[in-house]
Amino acid sequence: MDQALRQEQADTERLADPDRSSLPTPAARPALLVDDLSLAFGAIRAVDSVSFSAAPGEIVALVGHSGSGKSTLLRLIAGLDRPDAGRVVIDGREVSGPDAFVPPEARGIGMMFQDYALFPHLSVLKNVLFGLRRLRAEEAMARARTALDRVGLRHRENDFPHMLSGGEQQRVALARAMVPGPGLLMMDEPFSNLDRRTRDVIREETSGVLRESGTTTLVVTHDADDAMRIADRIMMMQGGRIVQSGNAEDLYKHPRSLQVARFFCELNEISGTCGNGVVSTPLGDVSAPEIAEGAAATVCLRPKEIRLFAPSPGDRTGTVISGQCLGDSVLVHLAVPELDRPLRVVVPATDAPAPGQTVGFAAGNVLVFPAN
Amino acid sequence: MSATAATFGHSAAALKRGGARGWLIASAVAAVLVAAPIIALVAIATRGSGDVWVHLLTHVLPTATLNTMLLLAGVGAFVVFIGAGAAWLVTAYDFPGRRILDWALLLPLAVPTYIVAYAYLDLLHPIGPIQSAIRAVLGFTSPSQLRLPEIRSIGGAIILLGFVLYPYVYLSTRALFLMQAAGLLDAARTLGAGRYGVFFRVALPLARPAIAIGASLALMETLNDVGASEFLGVRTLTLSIYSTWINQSNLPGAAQLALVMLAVVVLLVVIERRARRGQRFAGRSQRTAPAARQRLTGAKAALALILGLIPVLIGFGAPAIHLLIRAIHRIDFAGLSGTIVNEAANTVGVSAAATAIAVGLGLVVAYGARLDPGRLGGVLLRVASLGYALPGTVIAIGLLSPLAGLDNLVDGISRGMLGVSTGLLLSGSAAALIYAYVTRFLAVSAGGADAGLSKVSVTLDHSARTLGETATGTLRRIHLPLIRPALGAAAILVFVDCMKELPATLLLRPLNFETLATHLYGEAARGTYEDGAVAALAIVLVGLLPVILLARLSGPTILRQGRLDS
Repeated sequence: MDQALRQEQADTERLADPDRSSLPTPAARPALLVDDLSLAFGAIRAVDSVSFSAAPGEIVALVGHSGSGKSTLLRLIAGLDRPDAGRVVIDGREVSGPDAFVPPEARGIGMMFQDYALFPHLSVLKNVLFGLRRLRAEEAMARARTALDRVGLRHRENDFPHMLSGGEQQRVALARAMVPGPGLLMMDEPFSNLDRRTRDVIREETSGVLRESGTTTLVVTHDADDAMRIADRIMMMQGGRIVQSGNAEDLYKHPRSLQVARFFCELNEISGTCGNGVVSTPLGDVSAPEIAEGAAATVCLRPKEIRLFAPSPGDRTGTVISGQCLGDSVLVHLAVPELDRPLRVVVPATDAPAPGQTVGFAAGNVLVFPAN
Repeated sequence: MSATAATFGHSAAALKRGGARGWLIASAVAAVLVAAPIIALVAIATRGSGDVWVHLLTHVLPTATLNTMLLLAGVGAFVVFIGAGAAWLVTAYDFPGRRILDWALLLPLAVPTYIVAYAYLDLLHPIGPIQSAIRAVLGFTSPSQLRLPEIRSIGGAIILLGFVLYPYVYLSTRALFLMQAAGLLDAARTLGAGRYGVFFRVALPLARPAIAIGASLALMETLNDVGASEFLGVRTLTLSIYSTWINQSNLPGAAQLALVMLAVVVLLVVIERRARRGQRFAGRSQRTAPAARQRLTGAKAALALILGLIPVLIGFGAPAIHLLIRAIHRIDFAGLSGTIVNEAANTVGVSAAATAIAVGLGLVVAYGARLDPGRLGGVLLRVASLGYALPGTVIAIGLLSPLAGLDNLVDGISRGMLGVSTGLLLSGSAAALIYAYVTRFLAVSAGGADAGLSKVSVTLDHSARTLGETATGTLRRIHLPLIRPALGAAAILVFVDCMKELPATLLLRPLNFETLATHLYGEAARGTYEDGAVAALAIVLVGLLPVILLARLSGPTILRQGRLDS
């Protein structure tokens, strides 16, 4: 109870002073601590000994393919599922663990769902008021209206959820989850039901609201773009475990596995075998000291990191099969004699070669992983 | 909250979410209430009935079992033939009157088995309206010159029960025919199958699970029937149980017969469950663009309409009109007697009380299952729903001894502490009756609540919970407003089922307590026809409520279908 009150107070202060920035400070007590958390459904280890923490105000994205365990992890933290082992500590209070299980309604968290889960029988305003029952009526009303103002939907407060567009529903869901001032906000695929244009706008807005309020947030998404644009830190899950964690640049530039690399970028993949610390491919040798001798390896070239140029003798060349306009860039399919599949190359629209043309190519950055 | 969860350690560890425990305890109580009569039945039966069992085994059981089996087989075949045929007629063809037939074919559901038997005994009596009319047409003057086959026979019972129970098959099969992808039927036609080939080689085999579900429900009703078989002189198991207790006051003997019947019930439930599993697979097939109906004109259209009207007229039209006429005569002649008004009040009173309890418990059990799906909650929901398959006689026989035991206990405590005898507090009052109704019809309300809840996305629960609302508060603020229509519909179904219920009412009602159904039974058994028609008509009219409900539920489908046709 104390906790909740303090939280509300903190939130009121934030609302009163929107400019106050709350940068994550590593020294501070983590807003969320997950310690060796596990849950199995029969033989499937949906969440397998996961540990991490989030600093106050930090926005952490949990990414992975469907079935990687990210949504289950979210539900465990929210208290919607009970872990088999491990602890969840929110703002210093153990809410799941061997000695405690706090039901979701008493955890002081907010949650947003992929389908928004707006209550269909309540108006927009009443949806936002739902979590404010502990406040006096006038105060609750004032805060709900402020929150609706913040997402630009004050004028729709008497409408019902089915009357709103997808983007508007998302905004109401955000306002509803934020208004009680949760110590931790969790979002499950918050943008996946929006069309692309709306998605960009809403993502910016949501990010703005989260930063302004300094809310510690955990976003689950299967979309690399969402994660890179909104999060301070990205954690990639696979098979119930966190396989890599870091900022967007880390995961993009230094992926630790082929899966992580594939998740963040489309790749041209070429197989080869490792010998003497070098992977031999039809396109030449790549140094790979960390790959075992004789093991199969996959060499990856990002489409945007391949350069095309007018060939000189001795250069590797390919023939342009087609060019697809992507707006300000062009996706070129390049037939290379040594490869059985065409290389995909993305070049600025101004530099796009014509189909049939023979061009030279060179890869800038090359990633090498053990083949799986 | 965390402290209590920790205190309960292991039991709490079985629960998925906080706050579910209270709901599960309440569900468990409901499940125990439903299971109690079955457990008691086994206990009584194993106590042995001495010599009576030998008598039952040699003289009663063989005939009763044979009759029951014959009746089940006959009714089963008959309801499948009429139900599936009618469903195909209204889904594969279009003809003038088809829209009306669509819902009119449900009307016989409003006529309980004992009322259709009661009405036809009168209608087909040698000097009744039908036989007299036939004689007048043929120029005979005396009943001895022309006799129709005796309706008081197992054949008569099969036909009469079949004509009021076929809607179970019609309903489930029609829904499945409407769902069947047109693509499949079109594919069959392009492969050279004609209309009949499509029906017998594709539509019917695909509908087999739906037919099995409908038929098993119809057979459960058949097994439950005590009135029709008595009026028509068919000594079934149900009737034997009833008379073993009423006429010979032999509870263990009745319980032993009831156990035999329970075995038959289990068989029916297994058939139904397997069929439902099969349907899940058959129903999920493709995207369902419904097949266009073939338009019939002229003589063919008239034939289709007549064929479709036959079951409606026999199962509903004739008995309802007959009862209406008799009731009007009776009221003209003697006015509305005080007795019947009193009985109507009794009926409504116990039915309303049972409905309120059943809907309340049904909601508890369904919500418990939602909070803890697939585990304890789901099991409790299934146990609490056992009653739908249990014939009223079985429940009543099973309840007699626990209720008497409870009465003795309360009486003993009361006499010991207060010096006052409470007498037969439960078994001597309508409480026993209400208990039996709730046990028997809890499946209807729990099923209704469960179906309603299943349409509410579980993320709404999660939203409410993470916004600080408890499990109970979530039910009150989110689910109740959203599932109110489903609960209302369930309440109507339970209420009407209670009003129609005969076998348990006969066995458990307090002395001098008559409902409309028992009144009718008494008059039919005595061979008198005084207020019986009024009581029967009242039951049929109330019974129309769920039919209207069902017709409205399937309404949108019918409408959408109609629009696609044009």
